[in-house]
Amino acid sequence: MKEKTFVSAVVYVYNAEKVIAGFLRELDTYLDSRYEIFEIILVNDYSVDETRQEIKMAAKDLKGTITVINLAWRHKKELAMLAGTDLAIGDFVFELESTRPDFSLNLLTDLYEKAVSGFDVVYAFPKDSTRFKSKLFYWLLNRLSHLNVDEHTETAKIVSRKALNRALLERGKVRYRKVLYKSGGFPTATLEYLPQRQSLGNDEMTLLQKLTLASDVFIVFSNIGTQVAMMFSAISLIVSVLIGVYAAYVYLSGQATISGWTTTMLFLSAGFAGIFLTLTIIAKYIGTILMEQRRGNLYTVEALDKISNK
Amino acid sequence: MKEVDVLILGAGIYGLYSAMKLGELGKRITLLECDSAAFSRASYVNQARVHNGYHYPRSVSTASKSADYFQRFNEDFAFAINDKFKKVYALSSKFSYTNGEQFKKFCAYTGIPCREIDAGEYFNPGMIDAAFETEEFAFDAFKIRDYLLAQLKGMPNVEISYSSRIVKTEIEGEYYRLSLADGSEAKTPFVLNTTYASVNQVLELFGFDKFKIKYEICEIALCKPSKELSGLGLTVMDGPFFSVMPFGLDGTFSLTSVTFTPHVTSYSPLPTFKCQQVNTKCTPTNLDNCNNCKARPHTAWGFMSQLAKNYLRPDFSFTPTESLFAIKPILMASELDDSRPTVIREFSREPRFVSCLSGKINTVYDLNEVFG
Repeated sequence: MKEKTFVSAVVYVYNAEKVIAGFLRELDTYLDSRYEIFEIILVNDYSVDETRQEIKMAAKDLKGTITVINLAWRHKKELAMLAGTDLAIGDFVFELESTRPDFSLNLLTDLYEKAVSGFDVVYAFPKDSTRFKSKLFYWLLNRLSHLNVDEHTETAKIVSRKALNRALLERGKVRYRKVLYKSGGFPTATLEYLPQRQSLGNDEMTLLQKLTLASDVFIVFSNIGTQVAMMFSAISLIVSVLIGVYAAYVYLSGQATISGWTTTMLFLSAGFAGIFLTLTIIAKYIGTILMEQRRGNLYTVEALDKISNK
Repeated sequence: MKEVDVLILGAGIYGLYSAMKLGELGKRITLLECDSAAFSRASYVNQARVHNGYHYPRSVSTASKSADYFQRFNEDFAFAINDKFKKVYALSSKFSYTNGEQFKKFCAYTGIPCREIDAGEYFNPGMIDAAFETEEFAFDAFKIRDYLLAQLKGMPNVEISYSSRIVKTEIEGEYYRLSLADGSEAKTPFVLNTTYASVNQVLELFGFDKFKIKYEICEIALCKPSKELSGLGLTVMDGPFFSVMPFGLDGTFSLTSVTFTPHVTSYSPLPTFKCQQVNTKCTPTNLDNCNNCKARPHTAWGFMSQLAKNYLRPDFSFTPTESLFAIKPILMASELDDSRPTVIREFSREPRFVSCLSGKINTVYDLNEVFG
C-alpha cells in the first residue's frame, strides 16, 4: 500500500556525471515503491561536466516527474537548495545533500515515519562523523543565540510543508537552512545512522568560505557582533574618561613635568571619549536596524495548546 | 467528381468560421473533418479563455492583438460568453519571469485594465508578489459550435463531411484533385487548411514545407469548484504555475498548469509519440483523437492540484470530474518570448493553398484577410 502523501525530493547535484544516472534510477524506484505521487527536483549547481546530459538520458525511463533546475552560475549548496525547495510542491520535502549518499535510501522511510509521528523537521546524520570545527561552531552559535541547533552535519532531512513555508518566508540574504528551520520553532528530531561507507568528502567549501558563512550566520542569528563592538567602545570610553580625569588632576595639582602634556592629554581623552561614545551609539543603532530589517516573526511560537474545561 | 470553390480542412472554430464567412459570400464549400463531429479536439480542449492579452507579458504584439479582438469576439458570441466571474492574475514571488511592477507597466502599455488588489484575499502568504483584478472571460465551446453549425445549416452551398480524410492530392491546371478515403473525389481551386495539430500532416500531403513546430499532448483537468472559488478565475504566472477558471457556462472549472499540462513532447516535424505504438490507428501522418484514446497519458491531476493547493487559500478547493486531452502544436519561434502569433501562409497561388495556424480562439478574425 503506497502512501497517499505527495512528497518532493530535492537533490543537490554538482559534477556528478558518474553517479547521477544510477542515483536517479535508485531514487525513482524507491519513491515509486513507497509513494503514489511524488516529484524529484534536481538542483544542478552549474556542473561543468556531463551531468546535465546524463540527467536527460537517465530521466527518459523513470516513472516519476523530474524537474531539473540548472543554475546560471555556481551558487553553493545553501542557495541552490533554496531554489529547489522554493519549487517543490510536496506536503513533505526530502532534502538530499549529495548524489553519493553514504546511506541506503530506506533511510528516507525512517525519516518519513519519524516526521509523521509529529516532527516537522527530521535530520539524518552519520554516526561519529562530526568534526571538531563544526562542534565548536554550533556550540558557540547555541551559546550566543536563542537557537538550539544540533551540532551534527546532516546528510538528508525531511521538512513538512508548514515548516518549509515559514522558513521560505524568511527572505534574508544570509541563508542557512538548518538554522532557518530551527528558528521556525517547529518540533524537530534527529536520526543517527551507520554510514555504509566512507563519505566521499562532500566538503565543498574552502576554509575562508566556511568562515564567511559562519560569521554571516553569527551576525544574522545572534547579536554577538554588535554586542562585542558595543562592549569595546564602552570600555574604551571609560578608559578615555579616566585618562582625562587623571590629566585634569595632574594639571590642577601642578605636577606637570613636561609642558603641554596635560593639555594634549585633555584634548586627546576628550576627543577619544567623544568618538567612542559615538561608536557605542552607532553600534546600538546598527544592532537595532539589523533586528528591524529581518522580516521574520517577532516571536516564534512552538505550539498553541487550547485547554478548555467545559 | 464534385467541384467546389473552397475546400476547408478541419471543423474546429477556424474551419467553421471560414465556412460561414465564405458561405455568406456565396461560395460553394466543402468542409472535411476527420472526426465524427465538429469541435472534437483543440477548439473544445483548451482553457476556454477569451484572451485579453494578460497572458503574454513578454510578447506585447500577441497581447495587443488579443486585446483588439477581445471586444469583438465577446459581442459576436455573447450567448457563449461567461463574464460573470472575477478574473485575478497574480505574479508568483518565486520563479517568475515577470514581477508585479513589470506586469502593471505591461498592462498600461497594452491598454488593458488591471487593478492591484490584496493578494492575501486569494493566496497563501509569501507566495505572491502582486495580484491584479483584470477583465477576461471564458467561452462555452459547444455553444459556439452549435451556433456556427446552425448558421451553416441554412446555407445550401456549404457541406460538411465528417469522418473523412484526404489520401491523395494531384494538381490539374488551376485545380487540386483530391482523393478521399471513402473513394470519392473532389476538385477545387482553393484549399484552406485550418487544422491545428494536423497542420504539418496536411502540408506533407500536399508536398509543402512544414512549419517548425513542436507538439505537446496536453491535459485540461475539469473540476467542480468549492462555493468560495466559484465566481472567481485565478491565474498565477509567468513561469511554472497554474490557472483555475470557469470552463464555459455550466459551473465547471478547468485546472491547468504550465509544467504538468503538457505530458509528452515531440520535436519531430510530424507528431510522433510513443503512445502511437499502442494505438496504431494514430500515426505521425494521421492523428487520432487523444480524448477517446486508451493510450493517452495518465492524468496529472495530483500534481496540478497539489501545485494549486500550495498557492490558494485553503477554502478555495475543487474536486476532479474528468480530464480532456489534445495535441497542441507550438511554433518553435515562440519559445523565447512565449508569443502565440497567428500564422497565415499562402503556400501556392494557383491553385491556391492557404494554411492557418493559431493558438487562440479569439484571433479567428485574422482569417478575414484570406477571404477578401
